[in-house]
Amino acid sequence: MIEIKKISVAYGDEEALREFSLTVEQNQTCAIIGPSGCGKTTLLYALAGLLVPGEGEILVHGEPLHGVRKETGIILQSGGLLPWKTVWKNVMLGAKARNIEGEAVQEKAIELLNDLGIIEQRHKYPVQLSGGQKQRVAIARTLLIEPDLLLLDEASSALDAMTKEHLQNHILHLHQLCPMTLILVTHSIEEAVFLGQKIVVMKEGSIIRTIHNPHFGEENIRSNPEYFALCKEVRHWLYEGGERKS
Amino acid sequence: MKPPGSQNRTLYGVMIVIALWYLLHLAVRSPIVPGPWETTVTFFKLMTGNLLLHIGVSLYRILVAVMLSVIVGLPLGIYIGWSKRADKYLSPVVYLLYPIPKIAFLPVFLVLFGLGDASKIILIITIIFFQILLAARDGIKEITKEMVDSARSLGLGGRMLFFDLILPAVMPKMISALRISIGIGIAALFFAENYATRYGIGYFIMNSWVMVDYVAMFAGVMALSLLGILLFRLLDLLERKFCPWLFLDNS
Repeated sequence: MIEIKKISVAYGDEEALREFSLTVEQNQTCAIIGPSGCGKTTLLYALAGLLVPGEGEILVHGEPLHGVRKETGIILQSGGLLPWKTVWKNVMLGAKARNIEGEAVQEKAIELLNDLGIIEQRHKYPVQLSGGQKQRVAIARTLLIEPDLLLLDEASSALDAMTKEHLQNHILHLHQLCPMTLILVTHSIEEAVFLGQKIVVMKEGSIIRTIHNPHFGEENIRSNPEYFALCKEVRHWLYEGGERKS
Repeated sequence: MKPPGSQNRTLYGVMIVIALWYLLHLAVRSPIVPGPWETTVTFFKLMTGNLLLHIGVSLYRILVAVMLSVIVGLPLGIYIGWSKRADKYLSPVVYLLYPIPKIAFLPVFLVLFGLGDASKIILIITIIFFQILLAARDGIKEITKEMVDSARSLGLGGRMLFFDLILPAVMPKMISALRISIGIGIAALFFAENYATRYGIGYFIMNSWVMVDYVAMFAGVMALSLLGILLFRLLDLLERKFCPWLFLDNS
């Protein structure tokens, strides 16, 4: 379970998060949506341990978070792949850092690349890949270290509509295959509804609405009327729920 | 003329240069520009004798200077690129020292470090050091914040951060800087070898000139050019070995 307890983060005079609290159950998915500058990326960085909140604390499985945690994976907007390493070496990076490059891990890497449909690209360099392929490499690289908490920072925002949906399908599929807590930050309403069991709408550093998604993981959810209804609800809170309760 | 494929590019270059040289030889009609053929014959004759030694001494001076510049300049450049504080305090000094024509300090180095190899090597170091340092510093800027954050979240620490992230990031700029440095270094060495030495290709060329042996002088120029080409080729090989991602279209 992830417990965020009244954390505040400020950049100079600017407050990015204000006494922000949120709980995400183990193996649940949580989509955080909000306009640019609402503090959602800051929240993700704090969860990754890459940023220390000025106040409050974050508990991961009951343990207070101090710095980067071995079992937390993060996938950033541009993937953060190293241009000088092949797909294979990029994927093995986390394993190398943990000194677990043995045969079992290599087999797992092959399996992941297969699952994500990028096994053919393993000898290529990032510059030779399409945007969607790069993101899938970043996902494989992160999943190889078997995270129990996966953080996604607008992982599909740079992709075209079809590639975006494919990537979302992949993420959902992987979440069903290997259970883990998934927290994703997005500015796409459809992505939030498709991937979030819990959808958190943020504005100016605080939560303005939490929506539970009972249809999460349903087959062909994208063509269900309930999906559109949820999208509509999220849209409503995004655009019209601006009057924050103080 | 149609430029040939990559295999024959060197041959093509050599042919053009020899043709131009021959035309110049015909146009000048003076012993100061001997023809390519007699120069080549003399070059090979001299290579079995003293010329090889002169080239060897020059090569030694260049390589030592380059290596010492890299050993000091690369880490210092990385440090300045990585640490905002170091950038703040050291960059202004580097900017001030870089444009000073260090070659003018040869007399000072001759007095301080003696007439031997040291003064010549130090002169070259002072000239190319800043190029190496600035290349390393700028190379660090190729590393995006996302790369660092991803690497840290994957658990990369100290050693791996250096060898998997920092070093490959600065490598392409480093090799470009070495290319420029070697060109400048050879020119500076030629100048330095005109003074207080009896060895080195610079000495050989100027000595042949004084002795009015223009063919030998040109053979020396040829040797100096070949030395440059050899070092350039070596850098090409290093670049292919250490920066394979820069050559993806050819692979």
